[in-house]
Amino acid sequence: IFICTAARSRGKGSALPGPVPEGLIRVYSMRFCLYAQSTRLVLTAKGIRHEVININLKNKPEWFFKKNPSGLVPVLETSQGQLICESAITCEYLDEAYPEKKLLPGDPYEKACQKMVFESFSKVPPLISRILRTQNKEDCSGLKEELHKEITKLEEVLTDKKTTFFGGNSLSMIDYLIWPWFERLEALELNECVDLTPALKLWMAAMKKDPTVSSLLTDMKTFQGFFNLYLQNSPEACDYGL
Amino acid sequence: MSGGTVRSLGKGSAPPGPVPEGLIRVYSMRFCPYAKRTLLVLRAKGIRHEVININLKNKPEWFFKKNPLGLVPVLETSLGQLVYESAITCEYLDEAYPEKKLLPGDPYEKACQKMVFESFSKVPSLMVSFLRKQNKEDCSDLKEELHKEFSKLEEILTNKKTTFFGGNSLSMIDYLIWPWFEWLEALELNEYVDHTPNLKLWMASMKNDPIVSSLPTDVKTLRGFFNLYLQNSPEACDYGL
Repeated sequence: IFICTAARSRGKGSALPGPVPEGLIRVYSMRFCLYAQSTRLVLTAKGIRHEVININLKNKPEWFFKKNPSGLVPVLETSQGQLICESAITCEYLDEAYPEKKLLPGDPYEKACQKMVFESFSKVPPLISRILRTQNKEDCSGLKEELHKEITKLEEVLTDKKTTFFGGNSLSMIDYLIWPWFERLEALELNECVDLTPALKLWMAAMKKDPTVSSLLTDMKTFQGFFNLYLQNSPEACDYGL
Repeated sequence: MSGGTVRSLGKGSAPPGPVPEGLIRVYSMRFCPYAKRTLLVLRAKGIRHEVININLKNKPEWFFKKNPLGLVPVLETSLGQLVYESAITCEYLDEAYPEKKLLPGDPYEKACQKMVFESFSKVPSLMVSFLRKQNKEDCSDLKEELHKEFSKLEEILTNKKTTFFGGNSLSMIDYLIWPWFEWLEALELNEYVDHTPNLKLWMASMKNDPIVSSLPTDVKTLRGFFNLYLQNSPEACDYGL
């Protein structure tokens, strides 16, 4: 179901890709982008035939701004030329446009619950970002405390629901939406943040066993190599490990 | 609309009883733009509901059991289910009450409405920043930012060539962004739509909508509320009653 025309990212001066062939959907992505990983998890979990074009986020092609004026990945492009941006919007679009293997619940209240969990999670990505960019150990401990607080909220969701996953006893949309950040905790030396949250630890172990999740896992060293170069704004970052 | 309270409930008030069958309850505040979204959707869809206003400057302890964040709007069903975050409440209502759909059925059109909503997302905090600025002189940066955000919305309308953000009829996205445009007059920011003619026309069309005009916001009352709210007065939420 997955066609990769070339893993190497497209940068400035690259040719505009042709139209998306019928029967496929295209995702503009970047191998290490956490937001784009959610979209790729959904595409894979739902068995949707797709092609991936990776974008060099440190040297963006001019044509990419026509796909998304904000210049961010992920972006979906259909064979009719329709463009969808923003990771959560792409994921919901896919669940609706491809009705087999629904990841979101049909019940309006259960669906709303998944969205409320997603809101609870929303402070985590910017916090992790800030921690990574903070040199000062003191500022870091304050941020890590905040991260721990946010993670504890998620622990509470699991303990109240008494289920393995955030949407119930099977994996569903909300788990895929938040997974990429938890996958990186180890690489970012933030593992201690889940030491005091046993339900979350069990959830992480269960996630790693999921075939979709494990098919898209990035090895820790490769991610660290990417991240090092990314912080230095290197145009080689996005292709690290290729 | 039946039951509910206009005067807000504050600390020490008794928790309200369960929601009667056949109704849905919204915890709100008369001047909260986020809660206004939910009220507009309830009315537009003809959903029987009751409103309980919360004193946001003196919150009842029981309210944190409805929403741990202590924010409005919150929906409560007769089954005791709680839904919060204004956009989530609006989508929930559209799905739970299938008559008079406000969101499009087509997945791409629905995604487009959500992308417009993303484009709008910087406006609320900009308006609040205006509100908090005592000295109008420092506002030039804010004004430039607001102008930029309005231009983005103008472009959407110009590209779509329709009156409303979802097409030629009013739909969910219009109700979601409308409450902040009501603030423009009260904050003396009306000139900011002078350079955005489609947005100006959209505002006029919105004011003509029967649902929007059934929930008017009077400029004087809004200004009175702002005054008291900025001073953290527990009287703010009930201003004008």
